[in-house]
Amino acid sequence: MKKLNIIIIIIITLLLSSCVDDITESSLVGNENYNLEPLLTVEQPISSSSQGDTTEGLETVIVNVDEIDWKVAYESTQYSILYRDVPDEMIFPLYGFSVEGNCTCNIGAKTRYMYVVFFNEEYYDIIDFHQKYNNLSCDFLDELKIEYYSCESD
Amino acid sequence: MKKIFCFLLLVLLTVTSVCSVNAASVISDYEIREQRQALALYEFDKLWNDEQDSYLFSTTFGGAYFDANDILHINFKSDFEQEILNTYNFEEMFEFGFTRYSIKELHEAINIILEYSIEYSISRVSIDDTKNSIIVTTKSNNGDLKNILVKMLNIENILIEYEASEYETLYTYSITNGDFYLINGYNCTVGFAARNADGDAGFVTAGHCVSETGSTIGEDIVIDGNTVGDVDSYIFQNYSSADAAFIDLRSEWWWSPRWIPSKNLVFNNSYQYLNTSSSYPVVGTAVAYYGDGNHSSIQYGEVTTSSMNAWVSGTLILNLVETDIVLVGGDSGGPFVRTIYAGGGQYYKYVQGVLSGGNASNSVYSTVYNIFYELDLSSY
Repeated sequence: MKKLNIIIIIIITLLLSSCVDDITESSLVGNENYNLEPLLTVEQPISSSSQGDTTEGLETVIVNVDEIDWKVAYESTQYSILYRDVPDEMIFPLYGFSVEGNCTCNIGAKTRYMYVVFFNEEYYDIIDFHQKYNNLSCDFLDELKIEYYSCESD
Repeated sequence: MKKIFCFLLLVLLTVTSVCSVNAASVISDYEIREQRQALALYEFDKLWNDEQDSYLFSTTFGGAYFDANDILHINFKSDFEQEILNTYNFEEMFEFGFTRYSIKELHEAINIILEYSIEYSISRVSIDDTKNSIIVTTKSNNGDLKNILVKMLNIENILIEYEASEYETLYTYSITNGDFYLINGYNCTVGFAARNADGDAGFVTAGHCVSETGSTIGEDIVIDGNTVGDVDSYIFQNYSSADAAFIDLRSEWWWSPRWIPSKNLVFNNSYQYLNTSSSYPVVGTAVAYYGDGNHSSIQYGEVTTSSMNAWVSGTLILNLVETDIVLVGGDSGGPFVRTIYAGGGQYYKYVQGVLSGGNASNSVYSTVYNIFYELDLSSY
């Protein structure tokens, strides 16, 4: 009888774990056409450089992404969004990316610098990950207090 | 065999050293030129500020330009030669000359020509300071146009240019500078009209809009759902003096609409000139950024640093101009414009450059001069 109970428990556990997998995969439906590559390196400002008085912004070096002291901005059973602070004097290129395909909320290079996604033991660029799994929305950015820009004409 | 090897090595070393010297001399030549022009411009600005409202100056000023040796030529209408000589004591740094027409007269003539723009298929009218002439660009190959205009305006210095026939089509639409466009799913902004070394027409935007969005040469550019052209060239790399790209305007299919560049700016504005060389970005100079409102709209501010090097993310761009205008993602590539009073109640908008990057308090732009130098472009 005991053996039967153990077998039943094992079967139930296996069934439940497969259900969890189903939930995870069904709620993160990927765009098959988008080739998502893990993020291996990121830019890190260096505090001192021989840039001279007439140079603005911050010089950066390329470091492995896991060398950064990331903090958790959002965590779910599927993935995490990690962040780091941005020095005020850093200058970013000002291209934009519209999260919902209209002009209600746009993010860009600064967001990319600040946030990464941690998923299946790999780091990913936040915009690339969204293009694969469509996980961001304006409400979600609000919830996470991620800075974004709206159209002035709206 | 050894001798041949040594000879080849010597040739290689010589070629390499000559290339290095050339690269260094390009930068130093530019710096020397910039300094030479700055001194003359300083004196010219003083003269302009003091005299622009005086009757004699505003009615007789015949234009100003730098020649190939960076000598600043200032011209006045020849009918007033004695009066000018009695009134002004110019410094040695100006080459003082006389022209047939004043800039005011040429502007008045332009206003009349514009009234006939539809009748004569005129697409553009401008003044050439170096030739004291009006340049009229027309889509119609009407051989009599010059005679018609000379008789109408009583001005002989008129040059007629014919626009390429490929644009003579009913399905032609103009690109507006300051509008946003899509590239590989990202958005940036149209800067200003230009031509590449092959003479192809297009527009200038920021170079990182190509490199930082996973795009490359040939990437499609989409405006309002239409593919209007593709990336022809771009630069966003360490120690370059511009963050810029040139978009070649091409139709996607032979039957689809053709797109042409224009001097139109958003919100029914337009610019008259590109600031290609003859002006120094003086600190405190008022400038405006022109955006269509999808990101920023028109924003006003001033130059805070005339020439600086800046790390834009991890890339060091040289000779950028800094302003106190704060801009946002999607604004990259948009035009910075300065309005200049040209006398006689005329104001002109000069495009100074295109947005590269920014932070919470400033923005930086690449100048037209450096963009043209880096990408081998010319005015449209």
